[in-house]
Amino acid sequence: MDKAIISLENVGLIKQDKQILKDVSMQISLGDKINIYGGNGVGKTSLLKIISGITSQYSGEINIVDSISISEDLFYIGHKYGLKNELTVKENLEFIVKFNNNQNSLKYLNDELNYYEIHHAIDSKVKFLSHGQKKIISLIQLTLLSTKIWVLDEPFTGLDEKMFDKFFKKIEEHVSNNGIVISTSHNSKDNFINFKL
Amino acid sequence: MNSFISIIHRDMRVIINSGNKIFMPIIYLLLILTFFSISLTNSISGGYERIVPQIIWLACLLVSLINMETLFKEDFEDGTLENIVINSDALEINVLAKVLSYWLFTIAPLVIVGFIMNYLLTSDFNISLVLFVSLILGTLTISLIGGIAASLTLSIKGNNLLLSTIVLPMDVPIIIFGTSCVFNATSGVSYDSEILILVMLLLLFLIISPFASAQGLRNSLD
Repeated sequence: MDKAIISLENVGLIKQDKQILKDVSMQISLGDKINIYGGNGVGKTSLLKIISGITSQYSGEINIVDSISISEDLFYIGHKYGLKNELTVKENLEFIVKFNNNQNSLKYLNDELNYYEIHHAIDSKVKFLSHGQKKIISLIQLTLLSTKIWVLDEPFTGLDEKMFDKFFKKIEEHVSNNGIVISTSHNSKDNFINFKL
Repeated sequence: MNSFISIIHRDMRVIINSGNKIFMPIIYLLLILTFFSISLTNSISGGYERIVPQIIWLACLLVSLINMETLFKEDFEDGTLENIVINSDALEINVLAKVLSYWLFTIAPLVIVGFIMNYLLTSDFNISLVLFVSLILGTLTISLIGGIAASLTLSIKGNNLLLSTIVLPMDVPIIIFGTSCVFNATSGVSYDSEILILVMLLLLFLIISPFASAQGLRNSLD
């Protein structure tokens, strides 16, 4: 097994006197595609937030190798799309790229929009897009930023079969380049390292 | 620095794209001034125009309080705040960008309109200028204090009452020195010490607020 980049040891979380997570241990290495699955309320999103550093009030230990910086190497997409409704698709993507100091990747913007067949919406305000289209735009942020670790909360929800395949290809491409994908879903998935909560 | 500028640029685009958002605080300010004018014009001895600068000061404070909960709210609700918190090398700097963009696009128009209204109502450019400077210093400090309160109450539903309860006691010194500054100017007395105290309060909260607000945001997202 490759050296673990992120390791969780006996991670637990109690929220409002309710035990959400208990003794979760996991090793994540370069090139891993992790699918954390389980029913509603088992703590999938909470675990992602702990890994992403949003939640700090947990028990146990999380070790991340020194070469990885959460702020630079990890990108999180939660249930909310992380897009501003009043901005256009282009303005939203330009912001996220500039905020992360990655202006060079803007030259791939058109290619990415064409890949997901959504280029026609480039100047549309996000508030006028469907949920599926918003989801695609939020996923395009991943490939534009090219961060090493993708943390995705139910990334396939809301995608039709065609977009599912296109995004899955992007995931395959990412892990083949030594990227890491940590995602959640309600079921186990083929081709992923499944982790049941 | 890129993230700092990109947050201000993005918030400016949001304000421009959303059309009338920038005008609502100004309309509130004008309404408060109108109601004060109607109710006080004949009841103040020595002329209503003597207290116009103080009324403008209080009106700016009230309008900024009404809007304060929006400081982080929209970013929290659409999920962009999570990315700002995760992907910030220095969250404190980006919190400062949020507070500055709130001041630039919500409060600064009030300060400009307040200056113009005072000049129109009193015809005294010097007093209007003192009001303008004291409002810039005071409202910047109020915004920094608001950043702390807005971050602490972010995850609480119907947080406006709690937010006002936290902010108002901390705003009291700013109101006292802000209004006494313009009162002294109206009375022809020196107002240097009031301006100096407003500058000191601004510097104090410029140091405290980014750290306190950043921690408040982390706790609210926790």
